[in-house]
Amino acid sequence: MISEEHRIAITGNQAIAHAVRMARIHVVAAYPITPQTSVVEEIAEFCAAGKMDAKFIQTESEHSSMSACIGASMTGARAFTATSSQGLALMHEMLHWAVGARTPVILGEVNRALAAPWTILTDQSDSMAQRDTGWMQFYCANNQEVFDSTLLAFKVAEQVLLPAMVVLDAFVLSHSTEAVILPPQDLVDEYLPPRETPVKLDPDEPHAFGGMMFPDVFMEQRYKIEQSMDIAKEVILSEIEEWEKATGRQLKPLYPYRIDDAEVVVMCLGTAFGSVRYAVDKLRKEGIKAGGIRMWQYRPFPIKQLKELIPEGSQVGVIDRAVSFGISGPVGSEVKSVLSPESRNSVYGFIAGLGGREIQPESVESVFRAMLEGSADPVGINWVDVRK
Amino acid sequence: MAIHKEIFSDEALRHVREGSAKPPGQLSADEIPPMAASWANTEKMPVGGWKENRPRYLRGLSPCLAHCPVGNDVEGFVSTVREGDVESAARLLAAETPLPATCGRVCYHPCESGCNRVQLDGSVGIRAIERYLGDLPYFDSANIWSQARPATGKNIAIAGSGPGGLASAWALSLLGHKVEIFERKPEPGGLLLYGIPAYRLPKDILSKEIGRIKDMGVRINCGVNVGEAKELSKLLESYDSVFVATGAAKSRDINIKGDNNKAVYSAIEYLSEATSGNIPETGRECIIIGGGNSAVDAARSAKRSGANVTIVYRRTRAEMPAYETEIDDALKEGIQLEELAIPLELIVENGSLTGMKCLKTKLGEPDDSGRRSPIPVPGSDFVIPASSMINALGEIIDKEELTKNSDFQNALSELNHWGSSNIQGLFAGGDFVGGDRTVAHAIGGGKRAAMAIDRFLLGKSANPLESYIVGGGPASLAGYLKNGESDVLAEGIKTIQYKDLNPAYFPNVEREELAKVLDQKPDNSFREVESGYTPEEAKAEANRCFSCGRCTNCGLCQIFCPEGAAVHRDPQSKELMIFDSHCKGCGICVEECPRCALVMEPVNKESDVVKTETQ
Amino acid sequence: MIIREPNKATVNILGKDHSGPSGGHLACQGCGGALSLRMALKAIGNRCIFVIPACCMAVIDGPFPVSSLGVPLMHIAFGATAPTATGIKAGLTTQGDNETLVVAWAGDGATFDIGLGAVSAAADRNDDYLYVCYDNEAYMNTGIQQSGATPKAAWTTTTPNKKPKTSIKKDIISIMAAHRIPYIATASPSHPDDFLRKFQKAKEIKGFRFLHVFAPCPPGQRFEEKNTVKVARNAVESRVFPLLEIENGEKLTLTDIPDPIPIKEYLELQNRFAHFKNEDIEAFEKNIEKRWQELSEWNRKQT
Repeated sequence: MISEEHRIAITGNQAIAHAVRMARIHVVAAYPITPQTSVVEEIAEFCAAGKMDAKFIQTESEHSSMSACIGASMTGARAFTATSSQGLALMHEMLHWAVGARTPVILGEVNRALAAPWTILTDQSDSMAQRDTGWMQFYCANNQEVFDSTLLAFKVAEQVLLPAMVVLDAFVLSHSTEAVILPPQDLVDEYLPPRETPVKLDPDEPHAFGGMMFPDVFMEQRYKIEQSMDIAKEVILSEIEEWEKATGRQLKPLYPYRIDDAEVVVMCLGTAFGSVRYAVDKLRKEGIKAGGIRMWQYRPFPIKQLKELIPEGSQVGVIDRAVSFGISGPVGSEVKSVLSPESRNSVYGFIAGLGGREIQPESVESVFRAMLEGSADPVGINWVDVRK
Repeated sequence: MAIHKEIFSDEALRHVREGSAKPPGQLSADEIPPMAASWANTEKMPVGGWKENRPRYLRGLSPCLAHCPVGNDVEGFVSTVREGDVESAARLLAAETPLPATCGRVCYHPCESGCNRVQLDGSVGIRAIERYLGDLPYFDSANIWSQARPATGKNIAIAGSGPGGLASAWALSLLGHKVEIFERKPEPGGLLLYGIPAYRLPKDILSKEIGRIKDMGVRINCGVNVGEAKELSKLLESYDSVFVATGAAKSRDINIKGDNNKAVYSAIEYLSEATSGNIPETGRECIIIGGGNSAVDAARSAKRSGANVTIVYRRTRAEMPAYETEIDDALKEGIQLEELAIPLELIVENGSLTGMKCLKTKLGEPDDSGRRSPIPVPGSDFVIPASSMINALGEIIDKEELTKNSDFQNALSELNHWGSSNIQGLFAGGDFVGGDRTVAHAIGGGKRAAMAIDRFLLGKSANPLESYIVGGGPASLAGYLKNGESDVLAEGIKTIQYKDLNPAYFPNVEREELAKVLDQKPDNSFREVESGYTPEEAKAEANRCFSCGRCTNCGLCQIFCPEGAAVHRDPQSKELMIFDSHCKGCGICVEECPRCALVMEPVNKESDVVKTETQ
Repeated sequence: MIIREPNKATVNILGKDHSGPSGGHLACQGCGGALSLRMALKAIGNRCIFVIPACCMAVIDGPFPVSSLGVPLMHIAFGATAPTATGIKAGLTTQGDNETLVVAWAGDGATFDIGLGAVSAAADRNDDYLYVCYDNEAYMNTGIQQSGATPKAAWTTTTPNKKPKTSIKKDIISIMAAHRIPYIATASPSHPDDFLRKFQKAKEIKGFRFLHVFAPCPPGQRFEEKNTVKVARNAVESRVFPLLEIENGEKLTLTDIPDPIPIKEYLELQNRFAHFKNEDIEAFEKNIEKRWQELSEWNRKQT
């Protein structure tokens, strides 16, 4: 046990593994896929070395990994898995099940583009494809945030009975080493007490879970998921506060950058935000009132915070690293729908950085300029850095 | 971490733990749990309404019961042996018969002919099981019976102490009446003593059986011939009722030349003397005429006294009325059988019998008895050596010996099924009334007459006598004593046939045969040929019983009901019922029941509907 | 000598009043699956947790808020039975409960087809729970479509008589035996003593246990409801469904060696075989006989 805070150099994947260890996880079930593998390798190593008192199960598929996690979670245990891309897609059926069964499973999701054709590099098409499942999603931009988000995810998930994905970009975070501060175990224990499950799989109080439900109550059941998402928004804020009190580090649903007087704003999720900041700085030097927002909390969608942050009348460009083919980028259309009722902003959807293509500061700058020049399509998809 | 209260309210948690009075469709989102967790079992689901047919436990009748002329609860005592409770089995047996050790030895066991197991691998050895029980110490005294009624003060005279008279005396005693028997012979027992050789029915066994009846208070006056010493009509004046069971004791004449020779005997005479210990002289070559049981009994007795014995019969072995096993045993003991021959005359030289001239026959068309009639073959006469001849052509009833009163003679010729005559108080039974002349029929007749006499004497009874008839066959005394409250007397009870059973549960099991020591040497030994079952053998044989039509609590219906709807009426009860609200009417219980103790009935039939009950 | 009336100990357990799943469940009349489940639950008792995937039993147990089983039950997606059970067991043991028996109860579709890879993986890991496949030889819940367990040429809605199934029933027992798991057994509700003994034995064994239960389906296999047990019994008696157990994937014991009844007596009860001509019956018989010979040889080698 680590009793004192210390700072170590670890990859994003290792940061997840350490957080899972410190969460006193009961069951980890996973199946290897690049670039997720080192998460489970690290956990298997911790278990083998006796640094974790958990059961590590290597399954034969991600579908089974998620099934095992749901099963474990139904007994009141804390359960975790990690995956990427195809693996997440294969889990899809069980992602829905985890939500419907109200099992607060935590999933380390290393963003990787979906085949075909094969690629192992990053984009957000895998996790965005699961945005309607009812999972909470937190997109990280550095390894410390990965660590902190994972512990927070457990704590929020267990209160609102919804599973959560901690999302990080393939290689950029997963395999890049950064300094990460690990708090003492007793701090984590205090922050994240054992899970309380009044109703679970228990021979002393037998219930059937997930049996057939007729229309007279199915919709109320679905309404309760949405209600829980709403409540999660508040719980996340209070847990951010708790975590800040304990560690001095603050997570934010939305990370603004030079936004206060911005007339043109670019939004994105994940590590590409570095390029956004660079481009903002460059345009500011030119006298253009540019700003940026990084979205950490994607589900539940931080509607209130977004409305508060976006300056009135500014143009907003949303860079998606995923496409909902035939219409737009997913985040872009959601931001549009959030801001449109008051019609105070023009929102444009941009697609960039698919399949590991770098989103360079110049890419972001072109996004700003398209809005400033009025050349951006306000309805359709605006492709960035694509040879048409 | 604890779950947020707005997501899983206390009320929703209470519903999950304790259930909800309202259906989920009437609850608000706040009142239902976030996960679909059940909070009730399925017991109130109305699945019982799916069915078109419903099963019902219904006792069927084992054919052995209907086939037993005595009226024994055959299946009852056999299955009770199977269950290992021999005392209860003995009591069940004792409830319907006073002579189990006797019937267990000499009965021709029609129960076994009726046994459904015949169609699988041979009937259950019912007679041997009855013998096993009858020999148990429970039958050492009359304590096996308890007085069913207080003394009525009625007196009954019985003529004859054969099986009919004894059975009637026993039944009447149980019913509280005082009984006095008049027996012509010096010892009681009638045919049982004087007609059945001791190698089949040892004297000590018979005397124990009769002793028990005496112990009940029945007086037996031996050496009193009702016809001579006490005229029947006079007897009726001194007693409340008279039961005549004097049997068929007169031999049919043979009417051939030489039949007056001193070495010519009737079978009745011969067997009677042999029983008394004075075996008549037969010489080396003894001829028996006839094919019935008394012919075989006489033949085997003569064989035991040292003679070479030949049975002369006018048909073939197949037509012989004697019991198959008796014929088998006789032949095994070295007795010759001269088939298809009729006696013409006895050859007497110097007053001594030397031979018998016979004529060959051939078989023609069936006669009234269904057997092919023998037709003499002209010119086929032949002589067989003979030093003695026993006439076993059969016995006839002699009413004239009993009474000279023609009214009484007529009355005794026109008896109903219950042995009632048209003279008040006069009843008759046993071989005397004709019909099947067997020990079992005599006992059955005695019991029936006792019931009829009881009704005559007491005048009132809720039920007609016919309601005590089991399956169209015998009458049940136990049922009579319980005023008909016996499930084998249920109206319309169906006799179970082999096709009604589920043979899957009855693999072939070889029948336990009784060990026999057949006499091979002439040593005048009348020791018993058969030995009885050991307790293990009795149980093994009882285990072969199907218990046709009677629920044995084998548990299959309970195991196989997919709904769990076959349950005992209450935890203490052995009686099963169908929980109607859960039964969907699949019929597995009925189909699988090994012994047809359930029936399927249309749902719209209102009989015996088990209304919805709370489990 | 086989007395097929169950012994008293069996009756006391399997025939016990008001035990096992509650009545009022939604199984069709004469359901062999519901019957098997009832018998199994009585055999193993209440200290257990069931996992049931998409199958008839998911419906039979009853809609929210009712449940017939009387023990904890987790419904799960079709191919997810085995890993869910794995996860439940892991969840229990890591929280200190080493006693509760986890039972995966899945149909032939979930076992032979959609969940086979997952079953294999759980067997390979020797996960500590009891997996029961109740086999009615087709996708009955969805309306009688062929599965890997459907016998060759049997009628289903996706193998109409004009285009019959060409492969024989998948040999799931050999597949499982190849995993060298501690215990495999077949069981038929028609043989209660054998059924009870195997469930009780399986309950006590540690590691992955696989029980294959023959569960006749009146509407799917097309026979009269009352004949469910008879169909099961005839399957055993005709050697179509041999009763056996295999320990450690090696030691095979035939637990019932019937003097075989003609296969026709099994086939003719069921209308899914009604189109069989003599040559079809012979071909069917040949496969059954071949399999029996293999099993007998295996059995002989071990004893």
